[in-house]
Amino acid sequence: MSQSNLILMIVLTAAVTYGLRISFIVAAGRYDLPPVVQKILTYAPPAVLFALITPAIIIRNGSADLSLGNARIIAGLIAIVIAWTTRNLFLTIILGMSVLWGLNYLGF
Amino acid sequence: MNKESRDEFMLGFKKLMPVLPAAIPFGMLMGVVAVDIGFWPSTAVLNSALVYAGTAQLAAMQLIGDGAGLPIIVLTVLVVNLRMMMYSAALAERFKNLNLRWKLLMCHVLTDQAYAFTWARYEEEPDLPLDRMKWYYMGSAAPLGVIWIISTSLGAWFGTRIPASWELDFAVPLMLIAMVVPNIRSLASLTAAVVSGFLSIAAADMPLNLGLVVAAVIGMLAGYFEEIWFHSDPAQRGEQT
Repeated sequence: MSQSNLILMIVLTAAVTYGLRISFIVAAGRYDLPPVVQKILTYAPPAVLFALITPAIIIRNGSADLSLGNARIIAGLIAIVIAWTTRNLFLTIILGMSVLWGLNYLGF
Repeated sequence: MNKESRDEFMLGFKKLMPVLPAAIPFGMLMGVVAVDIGFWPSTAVLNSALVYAGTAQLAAMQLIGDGAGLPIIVLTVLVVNLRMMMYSAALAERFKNLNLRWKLLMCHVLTDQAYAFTWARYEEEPDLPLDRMKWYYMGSAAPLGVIWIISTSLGAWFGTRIPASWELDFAVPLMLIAMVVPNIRSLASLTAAVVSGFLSIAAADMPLNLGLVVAAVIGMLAGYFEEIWFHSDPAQRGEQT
């Protein structure tokens, strides 16, 4: 992406985010989402983020790689277990990267 | 700013303090990753200053790396940040008598933490006057923004260019895992994550990264139906990512 496109992206994503932040505080209580929609949206974080995380781990060079040769699968699964048990942001990142580097070093 | 306001600001700041040490390396990594995928250091910092939402910024980084177009990126940021609208709704009644300038300023630094701390303060002291409350809010919100910008700058300018063999792009999904996985506390949100993750691979070949949208929407619906069909306890959820 070119630098001007990146700047356009910053402006647009910032506007959207700020719009959500000011939505009710500035335009107090003039509209509301239907409760069903609100309920469905509570699942937005796990759904959206896993739709980003999974391909970043599994898709290598344009196609799905589920073989043992894809070190990211093992590193990613270990990171998920660490995140789940420790809830520690840095341990998750550091151990996840270390496992990836270790497996690469061992020739996976 | 009188003494009472200053005390209130400090009270909020003290509440925020334990969060700050984690924000520094996170912000630095954000700066490093941004420069790695093509931001100038200055635009990387602009991103942190204007968007100021870690998870959404990371999601955007991942999509830029994938070669996605602007509409998908903006839509993803919108959905990831929808919870801000819920916080805004929850605080609107409390803040309605503030003047517009205060409201605009406070909204820019509205985060998961600022919302949680402010809400807790009101639970503690429901009759706290607004002109003290606004300083408490600022104390618990603004310093994190300052730290976020400084740490992104450090990463963007001083994170040396890292060789491709280090596979630094893998740090982005790892950070996303670290943000979202601890908040998966019900079978329904696990269902949303698994269904969406599976479909994101199955639909990976759709044009314009539309597979992401399809996977996320069906994942959300799967979570919702799991909840209403199998009565998993909604009170256990409380996700915030």
